[in-house]
Amino acid sequence: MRNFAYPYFSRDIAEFWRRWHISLSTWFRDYVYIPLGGSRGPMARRIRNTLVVFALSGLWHGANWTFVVWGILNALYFLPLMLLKRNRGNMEIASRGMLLPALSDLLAIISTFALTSVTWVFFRAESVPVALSFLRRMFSSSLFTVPQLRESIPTLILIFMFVAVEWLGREHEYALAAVGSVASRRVRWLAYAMACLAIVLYGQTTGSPFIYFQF
Amino acid sequence: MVNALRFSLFAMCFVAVGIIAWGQFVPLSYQQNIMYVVGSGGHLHSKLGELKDFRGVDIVVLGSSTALTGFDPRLFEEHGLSLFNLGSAMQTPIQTELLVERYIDELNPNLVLIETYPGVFGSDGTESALNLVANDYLGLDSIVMAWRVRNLSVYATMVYSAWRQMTGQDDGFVEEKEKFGTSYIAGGYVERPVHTLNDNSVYPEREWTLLRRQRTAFQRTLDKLQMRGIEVILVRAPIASAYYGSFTNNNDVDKYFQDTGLQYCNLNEEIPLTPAHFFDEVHLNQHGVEVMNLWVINFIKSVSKAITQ
Repeated sequence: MRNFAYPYFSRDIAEFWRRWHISLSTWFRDYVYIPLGGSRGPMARRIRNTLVVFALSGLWHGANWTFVVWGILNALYFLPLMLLKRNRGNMEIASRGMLLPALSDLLAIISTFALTSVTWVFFRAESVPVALSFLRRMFSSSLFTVPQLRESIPTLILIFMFVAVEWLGREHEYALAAVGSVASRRVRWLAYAMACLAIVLYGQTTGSPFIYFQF
Repeated sequence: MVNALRFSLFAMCFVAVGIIAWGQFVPLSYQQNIMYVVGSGGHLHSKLGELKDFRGVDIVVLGSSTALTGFDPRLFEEHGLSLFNLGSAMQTPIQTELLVERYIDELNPNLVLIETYPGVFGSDGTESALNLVANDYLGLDSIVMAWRVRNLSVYATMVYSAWRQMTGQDDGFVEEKEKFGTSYIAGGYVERPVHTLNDNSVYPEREWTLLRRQRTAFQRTLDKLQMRGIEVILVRAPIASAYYGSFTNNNDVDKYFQDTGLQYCNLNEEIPLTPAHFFDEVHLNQHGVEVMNLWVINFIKSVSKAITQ
């Protein structure tokens, strides 16, 4: 089963949750949301069902208030779309058939990414106060200072390359699926060798725990 | 399968050329895994350069920076003993084994003194491996040593170092004897300035970890020295008492070294030292070195079969 379908190219939170951790979302839809009544019934019940599903999916990740807050934040992002009946507006992949994203799509993608990034702070923090402290510093006056990018240039180049590969392959099941049909073996081998070189030059050499080990 | 082999060959060549080009043309500040530093802080380059002048020395010291900055050849010379300090920064048993294999026959000592700071037994050896790769010649034993360390930066730096050595780019390098506040003393010793530790620090309780691959390398080193008929004495240099006391398994560590069957002495339990003898919580200053060396000299003369009065 395909579990992630380019979620960071989502243009709103509803699309994000159709593309992120699809197996888990499907399970919660089938075994929690629909038995609770789903989208049927009065508005208050639909809001309750949405909050319950998101909060429970937060708790699924761990017994910490941070995960509950993460879930509820996502619910709060989702509810306006649901109430305005705009939660099924972006069903196709962004800017389908286009090499570059449309400006409206680009702005929507960036803002959706920003919103989810705020929720990830709660997901990764040890506690809610730590998460809030993190967010306070993120949104302090330093937000308006010019970033010191010099040391980050290699990382930024790599990020750009990965995003470009994902974007160019977004209409396929996985990003590199089309590469074989458009690039010759020499080009592909060169790309793979460059990836190997990037790993050798900048790969992490100290261990860090795999994030999902805690689950 | 054939394509996989072809690609593997291509990728290896590409990566090797890429490492060389990156190391040669990209400023050090942008490097991450190519950590090629000739003439690093521990004066290893100078030490290995003068090693040939110490053939037939009485004592060779091995170990990490606690050895490097702990055993002063001048003090041993005053008591009629010649000493070459082959200690180096963060030297773990994996690197000690390589140094013994390379240099012990040339030095031909009567006694090898191994300083057994437990901290390096818990280290993977990356720092020392990088130091050796950049400041000593490369050979098959270097590849084996790097394999045992298992760190990407060591492999990358080794490839770059091979290029530098093949092209002789560092042949004329002369290391400064005074740098980073330390002085290189002939015989391999690195003298630190007299700075007194402010030991009001509180250290959390923890345990020493002796990694299996370091213990295995340590045993191989002892076996190599034994095969050569060289006497070995193990010494655990003193560290600041508050820092020493924060470790709850010092007795277990002592037992491990005692179980080697060799002469072993934990100087933390033998020599009363105060913070005034320490540069930091792990290293002695010159006052502390003088006290410790005198004790060790008397200890060696009392227990060593190879070093007579």
